[in-house]
Amino acid sequence: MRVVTTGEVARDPAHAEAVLVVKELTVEYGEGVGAVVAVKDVNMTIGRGEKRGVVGESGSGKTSLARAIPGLLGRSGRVVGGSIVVASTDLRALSERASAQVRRTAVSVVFQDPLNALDPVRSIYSQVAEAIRLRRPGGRHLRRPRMRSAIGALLEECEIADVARVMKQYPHELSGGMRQRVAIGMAIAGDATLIIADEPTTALDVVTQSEILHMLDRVVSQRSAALLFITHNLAVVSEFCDTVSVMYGGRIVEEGSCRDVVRQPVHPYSRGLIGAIPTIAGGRRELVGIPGDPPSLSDLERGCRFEPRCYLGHGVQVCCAQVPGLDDVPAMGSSRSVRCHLIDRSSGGGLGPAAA
Amino acid sequence: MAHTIRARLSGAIVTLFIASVAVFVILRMLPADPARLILGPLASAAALQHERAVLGLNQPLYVQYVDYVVGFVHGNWGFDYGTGAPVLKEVVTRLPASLELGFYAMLFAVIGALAGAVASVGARSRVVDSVCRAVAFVGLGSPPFWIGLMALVLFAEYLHVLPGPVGRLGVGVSAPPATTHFYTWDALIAGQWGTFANAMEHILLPALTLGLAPFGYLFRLLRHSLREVSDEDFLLVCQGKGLTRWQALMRHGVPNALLPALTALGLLVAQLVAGSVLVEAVFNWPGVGQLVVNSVLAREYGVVEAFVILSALAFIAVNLIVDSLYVVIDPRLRRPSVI
Repeated sequence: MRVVTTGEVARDPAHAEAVLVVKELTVEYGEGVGAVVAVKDVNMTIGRGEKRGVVGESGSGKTSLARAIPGLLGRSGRVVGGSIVVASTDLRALSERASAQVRRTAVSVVFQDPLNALDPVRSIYSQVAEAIRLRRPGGRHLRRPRMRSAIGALLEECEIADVARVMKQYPHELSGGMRQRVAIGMAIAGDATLIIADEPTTALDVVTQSEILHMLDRVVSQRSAALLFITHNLAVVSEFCDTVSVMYGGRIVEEGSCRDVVRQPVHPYSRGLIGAIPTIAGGRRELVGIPGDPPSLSDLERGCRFEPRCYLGHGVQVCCAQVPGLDDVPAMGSSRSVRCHLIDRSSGGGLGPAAA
Repeated sequence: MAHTIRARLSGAIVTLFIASVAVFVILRMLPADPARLILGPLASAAALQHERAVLGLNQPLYVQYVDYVVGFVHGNWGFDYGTGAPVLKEVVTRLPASLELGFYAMLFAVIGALAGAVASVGARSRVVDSVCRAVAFVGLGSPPFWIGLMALVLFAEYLHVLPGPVGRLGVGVSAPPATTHFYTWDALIAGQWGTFANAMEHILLPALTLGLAPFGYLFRLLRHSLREVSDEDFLLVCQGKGLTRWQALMRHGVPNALLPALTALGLLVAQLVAGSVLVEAVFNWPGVGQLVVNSVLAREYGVVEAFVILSALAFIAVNLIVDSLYVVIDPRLRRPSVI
């Protein structure tokens, strides 16, 4: 029924057709002087079957990015620049009605907090049925017995055991993990080519987390859909994403294949992030955090957003005065790019105070 | 469930008891002599004494109360001092007029408040929001009889677009054949379009006047809860499924926002009953409220007592209905979480 593509061809962004192309995306909240730029000039291309992780602290703009793509920024947020192309349709040019149509067929979202993700007064049956009716071609005409079996199959795919019982239940009768499974079920009810998961496991306990992640990984792979996975947890990203973008202060600061970035981070911020993860095997070492707080995004951007907290660039003139570009680091392989003034791009990306 | 019903019923009985005792004692403390009112200013002392004995006014207060309650339960609600007609009959003949007025007032309040809340929150319309808030403010802050008078002055006196305070129908228009005793409905059933239009014309102003305060209350409540619901994640999830923002709000936002407003319904009915007394007097509406005003002025014990007890009963009934509706609508109450 569905084409199952495994293997490296589909995973290699260079070979795969692009499912999502984001160009120069800028998102703002509020208006006038108090406006906050949550996402600034983000470029991102995700190919079919690719799993892209986006990591960063709270306030780095990752959730705004995840919500801007399907057009779900809410009352105060809005996209002020750039383009979002999904399945060769520019979503920014669409009306509310037409972008709802795109969300029906092409893009699915799984949100962070499963406890609030479901309508509290509707049964699971009614909510999943709504998703099937909206998302599946011909789903509108499914009669009750066939709808039941369709919902059953969907929930079983999300590893829900007692499907018949869960269907009759209401959200408050399910655990957080179960609710997230239902939410994922609704997200994969159609043939979405892009699935956006915004910290889908953050609110869950560790065991449930890994079960849900594996399940998500499996259903996304089976559909050879593209996945945009937002998290603050680098360990999770390194477990099952192909590529990763590190966000800081609304900008992407480092990008590359997941394995390489985790093994050998280049940007001082990525280094800080990875240095803050304890390892079991590596013996005792001091965990290095990142001093200071994330930047206030309502301030004007003068130089590198990370400069005040950076162990390399703090006080360095170029870092204070000029916004660094996201440039390739050829020495680190084909797909690595980093937004930093101070790295030596020719020699293995080794961090040296090249400019000083 | 059985426990809840028992608790509610005992609460209802206590409410009824307190309301009836209060109205009974207060009326007995008024400086008026029913015997004198019945027999007139020229009656002899002996006749008055005899009449008091017949009415039981010589008995201790608690005996009178027990007699009254027993009589009330048996449908003997006393009689009108002026006409001698039984109170029960008077109330029953006037009740449909009050119910019809209350129905349209509530209809206006609920539909108006819902439409206003959805428009100001859902459509993010500042104009609708400001207008509705202003109307709600006026409705909550002004006595309904004053609003009624002003409306009459404006629409009947100056603009001549609506009839003045002449009751349920215009002069020369006869009542439609009685089926439901609501003139508007009966006229529709009988296919008398002219009568229907006339009845509508006459009920419009009193219903709007009576419904204004409940509208204000409901609008503020719904606006608030709809705002809160519209920030909930599940509405975004619904939009993520492919509903437009508007569809998500109507299908999932409004039902959730209605829940807190349901509790207010009982309160609103009380407000409606209280408001109806003076609004009916202003619009010369032949309902129970007008009867009560006249009865208070004439010191008619029976009517006022019956009215207070009936109002308490209505209040209790509405609250019971609301409580059971909650259980039907909100699954969290129907099946409490075990997790």
